[in-house]
Amino acid sequence: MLKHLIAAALLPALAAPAAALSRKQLQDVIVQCATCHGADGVSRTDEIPNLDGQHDRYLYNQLAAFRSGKRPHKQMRVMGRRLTDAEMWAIAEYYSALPPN
Amino acid sequence: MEARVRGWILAGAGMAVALGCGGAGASDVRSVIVECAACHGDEGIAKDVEVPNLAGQRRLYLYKQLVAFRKNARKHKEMRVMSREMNDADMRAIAEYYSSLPPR
Repeated sequence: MLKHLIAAALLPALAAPAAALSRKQLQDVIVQCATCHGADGVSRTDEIPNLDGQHDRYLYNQLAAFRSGKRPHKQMRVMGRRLTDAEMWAIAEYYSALPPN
Repeated sequence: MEARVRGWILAGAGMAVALGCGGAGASDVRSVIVECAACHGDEGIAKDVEVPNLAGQRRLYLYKQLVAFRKNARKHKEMRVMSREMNDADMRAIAEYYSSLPPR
């Protein structure tokens, strides 16, 4: 019984990981990404990847890898360490939903 | 008049050379791209959501990632294997190819 209750409580969180962020919270996070990757997901220089239309799962995995240091990148590690898991999902969903330019 | 004709002939010859080189380079790229396409898709759109789309991605970014995979600075088992079979010209050609594809 208890097991079922816990599962029921966890399920919505797994199904919609980004729902935890308000629009304002999302904006505050995206502003930081936008300095290099653009709010539209189009990067400002040729060395920085475009993110618009990228797969959300790929983006989330990379953010997690930057935070853990598994994918080494000085700036992205600093950014990644400030992010919560919910924020990383929200960022991934935001950029993947943008139409590629 | 004569000078203008000569000019057109020179321009035509130049174009033929440019097209010829482009064609040869493209066919070389094709043979390499086949291997990338298995995961990243023919048009640079990956079928698996854990695999990045490459269509329209930045050229220099793509090239640097390939170099990083080969050096193992960016760790990825499959990409390391793939990149070790590539020379520098292959990497540049791959980056050029995918960055020139229209994103979707």
